[in-house]
Amino acid sequence: MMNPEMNPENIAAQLCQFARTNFVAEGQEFDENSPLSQAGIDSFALVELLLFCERVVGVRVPDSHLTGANLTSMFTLANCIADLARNGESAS
Amino acid sequence: MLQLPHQIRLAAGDYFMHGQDYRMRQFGLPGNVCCAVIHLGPGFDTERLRRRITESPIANWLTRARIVRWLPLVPPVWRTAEPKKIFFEHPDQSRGTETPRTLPRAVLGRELYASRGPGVTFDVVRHDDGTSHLFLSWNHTLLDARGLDLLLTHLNSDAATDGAPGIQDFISPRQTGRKTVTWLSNAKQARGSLKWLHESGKEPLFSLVPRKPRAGPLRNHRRIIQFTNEDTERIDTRSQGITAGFRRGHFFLAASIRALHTIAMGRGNKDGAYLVPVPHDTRRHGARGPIFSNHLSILFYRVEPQRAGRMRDIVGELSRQMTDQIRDRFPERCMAALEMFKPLPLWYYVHYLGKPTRGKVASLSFSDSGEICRGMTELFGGPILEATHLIPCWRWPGLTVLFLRFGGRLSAELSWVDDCLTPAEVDALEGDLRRSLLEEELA
Repeated sequence: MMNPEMNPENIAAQLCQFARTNFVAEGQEFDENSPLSQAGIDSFALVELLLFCERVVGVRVPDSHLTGANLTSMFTLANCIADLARNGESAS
Repeated sequence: MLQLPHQIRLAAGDYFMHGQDYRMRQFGLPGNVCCAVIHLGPGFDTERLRRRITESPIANWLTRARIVRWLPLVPPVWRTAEPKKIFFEHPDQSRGTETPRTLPRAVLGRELYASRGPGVTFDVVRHDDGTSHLFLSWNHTLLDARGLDLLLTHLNSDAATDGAPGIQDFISPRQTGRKTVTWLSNAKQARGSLKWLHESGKEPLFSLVPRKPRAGPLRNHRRIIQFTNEDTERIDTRSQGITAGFRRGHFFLAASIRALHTIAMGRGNKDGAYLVPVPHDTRRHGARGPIFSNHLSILFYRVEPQRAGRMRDIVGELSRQMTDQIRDRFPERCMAALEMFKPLPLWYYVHYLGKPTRGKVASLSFSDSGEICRGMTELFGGPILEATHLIPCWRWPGLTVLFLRFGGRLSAELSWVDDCLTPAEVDALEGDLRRSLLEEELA
């Protein structure tokens, strides 16, 4: 059974919160399904997001998983992270 | 009516750009002055532009801003002074339908200083065919390229429908207020960043700048490489394939490093590494500001020549180094160090920043400005036909590569100092850049 904190919805919510605090201007519409490329997530912000994920969720996303499909939105990224967590991919 | 402070704290990025301005003038080059060149169709209303510049408190502040240092070893600040003339109209100097049209001599020779002002000027040339050129020149110490875009959007907007600008649209909250005791916290944060810079700047480093003393004043040259819509689409697809679309800047930087590597190989470079500092815009996405000041953090890439021959290798190297630096919080620590050095006299600041690389500073200066005139189709009533930025070349390193887009079309600008590259090397640079972006096998 998956740790509830590791479900994609929870992870996506945490990633969104992090993006809203750090990259997205106040008043801009941004949620789990917003396209990342239009939400100001550039290469720098993406690395910040992935490092946040390492720190908070404890999962390291390998470069091979940084595909267009996984980086469509926070939700697809969260799904990828949840999959990695299920398969025992840790940040250490 | 927006009330702006009389005095504003200088950002670390501003003093860094001021240092580059000082360094360039030492070598007889024009200062750290950029120029946005915008070709506008019929309907461009000069009077509307002139009125907006006069009415806008933000434009008014920018044109009166000067760097002032009240006492030695006290950080300099921005302060407003009496305005100087900033709006100029010129007769068309080109003949008939000559293309490209000649840049007005007055614009080319524009001297803009952050310390005595003005730091921003507007030049307008009206052509016989009803079109016009707007040249917006600015000293980089005052604002960065994104700031300029935001300034144009602000001047072009209608306050009645778009809402009046707030102070957050002009300046970062960090630069206002009276917090002055930051030295100690910066010193703590900056610890280690200098050691890191000394390590990444260790010899051997490749530089285009000749060792022999320069002969007389130097000149800046530029070449703009335009890509067609089809080229741009192809480049985007290739970049998407290699970087999942989120590291497009890495794709452009890798192409620039590989082109530099080609020149370096031609000069017999065997083990000189390529050191490239890359600025990153720290503004939040979707915000209308801040317009004023330089909002940057810096990443430093060092690529060994053994890893600089293939695009995929370089992109991989850049991605790894970027992650390592962000993990180590290097960009913040580097900016904290720059913040800490603001009290230093400018000449010593410039000398001190060059020390980790023994004055070489970098092998290449690189910037990816993204889309310019973003979201704008017209400016002061005239449709925007073409837009580009002319950038200065810092020496050192003697070569700057800038990528930007207008209307979805990509262009690359090479800016170099005449004693650093021969005409044949510039041709080779362009050829290699095109090959890397458009043709090289990426598998």
